[in-house]
Amino acid sequence: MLPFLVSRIGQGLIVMLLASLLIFSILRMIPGDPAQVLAGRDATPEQVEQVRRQIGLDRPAWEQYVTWVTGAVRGDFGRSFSRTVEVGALLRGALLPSAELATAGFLFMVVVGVPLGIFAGLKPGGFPDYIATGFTMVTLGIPNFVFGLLLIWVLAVHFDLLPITGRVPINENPIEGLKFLVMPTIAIGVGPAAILARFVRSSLMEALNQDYVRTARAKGLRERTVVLRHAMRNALIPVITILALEVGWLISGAVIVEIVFVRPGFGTLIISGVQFRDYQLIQGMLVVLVTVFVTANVVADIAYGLVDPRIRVS
Amino acid sequence: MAAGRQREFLVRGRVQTWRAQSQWFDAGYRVARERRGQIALVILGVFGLSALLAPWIAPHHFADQIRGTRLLAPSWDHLFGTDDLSRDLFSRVLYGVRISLFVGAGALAIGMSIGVPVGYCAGYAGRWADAILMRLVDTMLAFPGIIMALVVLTVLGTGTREVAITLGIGAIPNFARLARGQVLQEKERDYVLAARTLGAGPIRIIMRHIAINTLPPLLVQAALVVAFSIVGEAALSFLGLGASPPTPTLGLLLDSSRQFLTRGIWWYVLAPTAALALLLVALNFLADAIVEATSPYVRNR
Repeated sequence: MLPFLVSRIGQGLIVMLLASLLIFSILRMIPGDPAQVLAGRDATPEQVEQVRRQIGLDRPAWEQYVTWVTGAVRGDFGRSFSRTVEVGALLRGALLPSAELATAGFLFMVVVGVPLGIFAGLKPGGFPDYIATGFTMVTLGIPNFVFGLLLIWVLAVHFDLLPITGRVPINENPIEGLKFLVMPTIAIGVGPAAILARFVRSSLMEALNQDYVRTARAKGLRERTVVLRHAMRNALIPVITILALEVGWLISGAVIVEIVFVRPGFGTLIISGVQFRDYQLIQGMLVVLVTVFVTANVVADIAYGLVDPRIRVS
Repeated sequence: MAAGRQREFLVRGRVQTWRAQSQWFDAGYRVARERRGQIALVILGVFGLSALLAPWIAPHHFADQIRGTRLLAPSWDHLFGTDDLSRDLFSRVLYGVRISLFVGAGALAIGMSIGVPVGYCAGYAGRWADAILMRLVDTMLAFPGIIMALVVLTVLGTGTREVAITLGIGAIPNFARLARGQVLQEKERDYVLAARTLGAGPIRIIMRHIAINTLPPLLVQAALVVAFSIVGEAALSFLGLGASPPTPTLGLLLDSSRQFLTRGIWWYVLAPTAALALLLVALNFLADAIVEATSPYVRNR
């Protein structure tokens, strides 16, 4: 198990390193001089030079990269160009609201997607299967942020059930916090839940066709035992991979759905970062997002190895 | 199918029937015979035509403000109603679809024209070219889609053309990966060996022999990329990173509709939503229909 763990984590670190290099070099291609921007429009050339030296832009690119990466590892992402504050502070402020939403979305996806997939898979063509299909059709046609708008229209405006925009920290006031969380969670969770349900469905249907299920039935086990103890355990193994991929979807979804519901978080930061071409800020945010994404994949790989011994041996 | 026009072939012990027509006609015919294919072709045909002819069929120009028609509900005069600046929403959605399709086509052209050759080269050449190109592709795929788009947009700046380029770049790794996988499968086939024995060079083998056989999955991917790019364009212009306001993209329409939702003005948000939903469902149906029409296993049902 140990060599398996080490190799998976090592692979994750390599991807992270490549990704940071890619982010760093792509963002260097931005036209314009950040030192000039930071110094202000009517700064003298000497002042611009001074700023350039201050933020280290006069040094060779590889040295800048090394400084940035070693800083980033310690949580120091440099100073934001557009907001003249530490990027690290901005990120820490945005992390909690976004993590809250993404976690809620993940839970929603699993809680809705897995049971729906199971019921659909147990009886293809039955009622749950129709619901799952309808679900997929809806999410194919309606992107998450549009779904958010429709939720606002129906749940908040028409039935006046939920507050529309903003956020109350969930650790300060759980009930109010949850109210603000409901619609954004559904908006980012529906699409991934539909994909998950379809995947669980086909995976379960395949497992139910296997010989060991027929054996289990033949020896007189109750159907519930057959499904839960025999078919399901094998059917859910490939689902782990999908879960990791869906983390990426959830992150993308959270970024834009946060804007719809005017929630503070990564969404607003990213938009202002892109609009002001604040590459220190964008760089920092991307590193955090890629870290989350890569971690999810590494965890999925390891979980895969835990539940399926064949993988960690080979 | 008329009996006289069928031919039977024995392929690996299975009797298969083909209509005696070109492969292209054949595939198109099958797509048009599927129910999903029919729905897709009709919707896409209507949308495509009206996008093309928008300047002639739109009742108003997208920026025309018609006095005394502020925020009217749908009626025969204004099919989709009017917005807060007294503009006809039907015309605005029509132009919005035009931009969506433009972005979809542009992204597809960029993604396919770079991604597919890269995939072919990696797959056919193998060894170090394959290793280097595919590591690059894997790194690009390691980012969730919108994140990649935001990096590229930071560099390019904002605007519709920039969005199309960004989404096109985002589609490259998917095409490359798919094309490579297809070539890896095809290049071991006997017909490639036969072509090589006859002295055909790698470029000729890829272009004349392999390419045609790798096309169906690439077409499926193409339909999905167009759908994804249309969502992407709507999302990015919704976020204010695409076209700027007087231009009516579906994303901008959705963005400006949201402040009126609370006042019960439902048609403003519904018009772009409906257009978007129809386009996306049609493109996904088209992808399904192409799978059905070109997959050898379901062919002879």
